[in-house]
Amino acid sequence: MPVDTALLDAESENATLLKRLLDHRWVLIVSFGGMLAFWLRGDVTLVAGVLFLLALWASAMVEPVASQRRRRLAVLKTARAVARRSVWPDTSTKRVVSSLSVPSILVDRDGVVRFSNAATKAVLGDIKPGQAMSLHFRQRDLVGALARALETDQPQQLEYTERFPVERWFSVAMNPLRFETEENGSAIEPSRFLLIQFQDLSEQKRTERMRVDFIANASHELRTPLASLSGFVETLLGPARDDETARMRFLKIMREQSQRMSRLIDDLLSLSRIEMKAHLKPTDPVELGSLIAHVTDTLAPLARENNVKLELDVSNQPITVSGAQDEMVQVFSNLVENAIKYGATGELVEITLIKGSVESGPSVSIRDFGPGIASEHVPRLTERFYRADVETSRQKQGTGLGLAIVKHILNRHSARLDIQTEIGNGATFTVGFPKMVEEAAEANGTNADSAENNEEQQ
Amino acid sequence: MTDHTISVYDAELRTLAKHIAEMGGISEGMIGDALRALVRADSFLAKRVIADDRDLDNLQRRVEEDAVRTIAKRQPMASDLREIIASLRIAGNLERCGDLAKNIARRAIALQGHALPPKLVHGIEHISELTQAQLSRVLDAYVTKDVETADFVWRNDDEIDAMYTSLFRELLTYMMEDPRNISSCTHLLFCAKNVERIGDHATNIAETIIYQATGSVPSNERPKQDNSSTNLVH
Repeated sequence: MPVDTALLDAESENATLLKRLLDHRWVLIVSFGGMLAFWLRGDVTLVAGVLFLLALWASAMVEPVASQRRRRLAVLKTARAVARRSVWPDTSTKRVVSSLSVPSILVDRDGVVRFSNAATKAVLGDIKPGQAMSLHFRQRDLVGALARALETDQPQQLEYTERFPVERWFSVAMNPLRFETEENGSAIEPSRFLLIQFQDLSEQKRTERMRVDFIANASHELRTPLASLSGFVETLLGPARDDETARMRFLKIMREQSQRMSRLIDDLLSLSRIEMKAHLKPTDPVELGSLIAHVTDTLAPLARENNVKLELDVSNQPITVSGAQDEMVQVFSNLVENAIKYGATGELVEITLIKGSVESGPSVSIRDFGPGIASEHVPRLTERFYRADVETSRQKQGTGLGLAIVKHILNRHSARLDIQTEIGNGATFTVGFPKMVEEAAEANGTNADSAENNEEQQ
Repeated sequence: MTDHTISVYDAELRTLAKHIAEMGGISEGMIGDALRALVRADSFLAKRVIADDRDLDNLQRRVEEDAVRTIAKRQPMASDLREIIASLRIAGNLERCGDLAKNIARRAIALQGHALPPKLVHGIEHISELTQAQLSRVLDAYVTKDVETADFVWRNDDEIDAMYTSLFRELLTYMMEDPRNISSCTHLLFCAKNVERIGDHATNIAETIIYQATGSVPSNERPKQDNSSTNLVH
């Protein structure tokens, strides 16, 4: 406590002047006494002179002791101020932040990032220390909350939505790191750092969103087949009650319509399922060659039915990408199925697998020789329920969701869909996978290892 | 980049970059909100977008003042000069993006009560998704000074242009089908055009980022696919 009082005193300038005079009080008193003696007595004996000088010397010794103490305190004070201003967190703070499992970032009083843990890098990307927080998180609400937190030194809580590359929701908590020692107790010293934590809410939000989207889409798209179903039912109950031929015809149409409804529901459900997982990157290794061979095998009957020959150009070398097996099957069966159905007039579908190079990842292209697609439709093919030709799509039992599903799956895999087409010359759909990253290769390696282990165990 | 002898100079440059990022955040938010207001017919949200534009304008003025003051005081050379010029340009681009978003918001209010065909709404959503992705990517590239991403954005604009052409044709068809659609379709057409313009601003920003890093603007023509002005529906 006395230390703090002294600090407080030293801070004010008036006090410093008074203090100095006070510190020198002995010198002042002695010299004043000496002068008084000189003035009263006039003549000074040798002994009196020596005594006076000794007294002056002794009193002068008192002063440096006091000023030294003060100087030490001043140095201590500057050191503390420097420590308070220094912007890098110490090792133990870093250690604690590192151990947190949610993405956590430390920012200093100027809103500059000073430390972020491993989870941050994995979830939010590389955030370099030394850059302003608002450079990485531009969104207005977050910038505002950060400013408020820094200004008032009070905790802040908000919801943060990141729209790209995939929509993700976070609950963000900003808490000042208060340093409360026994010494200053409840005395509030402004905190040096703000801890910002991101809690991922994507899962919950997606579930909510899925329900809303599903109802919106389903209600709209199911209404048409449902209307025709109930129309036929009405007719069968009413005017066509005893008409044998009409009844058969109507029942056939009704079967078609109900099949269409169930296809629609299947597709909508799988679209929703994929959207649920949109923010999670798939990590399993998938071997493309065998996967595509499997897809073409399953679609062979459909190809025969449409009089289309499937030609497969797959290299012997295994080509592995990280992905989800069943989703990849869905992508390629949708694409090959489309090629068979809408390019049937070409009587040939070529499927080519190209191993990636250093610049580009592996790619699979599916080429048909059908009528092709008009250029104005191409950019919009992946929209839900967008059909280049409504009539043909209905005939071929399309739901208008096939390519939307493909796009969503590929988005999750960071892969691209490229469409090349020309009227009369067929269409080529190419799926380009991202460049092989070392991590994927590593995952491969470990997987191969574990496979070997398994074999050994057996 | 090495630090300057005068640390205040560094602080000035940092403040410029911070303000640009802030402008980026506001205009991104405005664009997203404006399109949401359009799709959901939410006039409350639309009004907020219109109000937000003032903040963006103020920030742009501040960036301009700061940039001019820094040039006058520090007489920057080479990469510093490019950085300041780049921030001036990007601030201008972002301010224009905000104006376009405001225009979309105004049209969203005007379109209130009109039933929009879901197919067109999907189309507008699609083009705006592409554009917002471009803008977000280019702003990330600005922060990280990532020329590769900027170059990707610069080359990727043709997708948006193709999308716009497709929407343009579709809107024309709707208008020809039923003259009663004309007023709402015209609003939607301008919205689509505004979104496409925002995409162009994103490529401009990408160009500026490349200029800032390398000192030269990419010279070869970008692939263009916007033929809507010459496309006629018979």
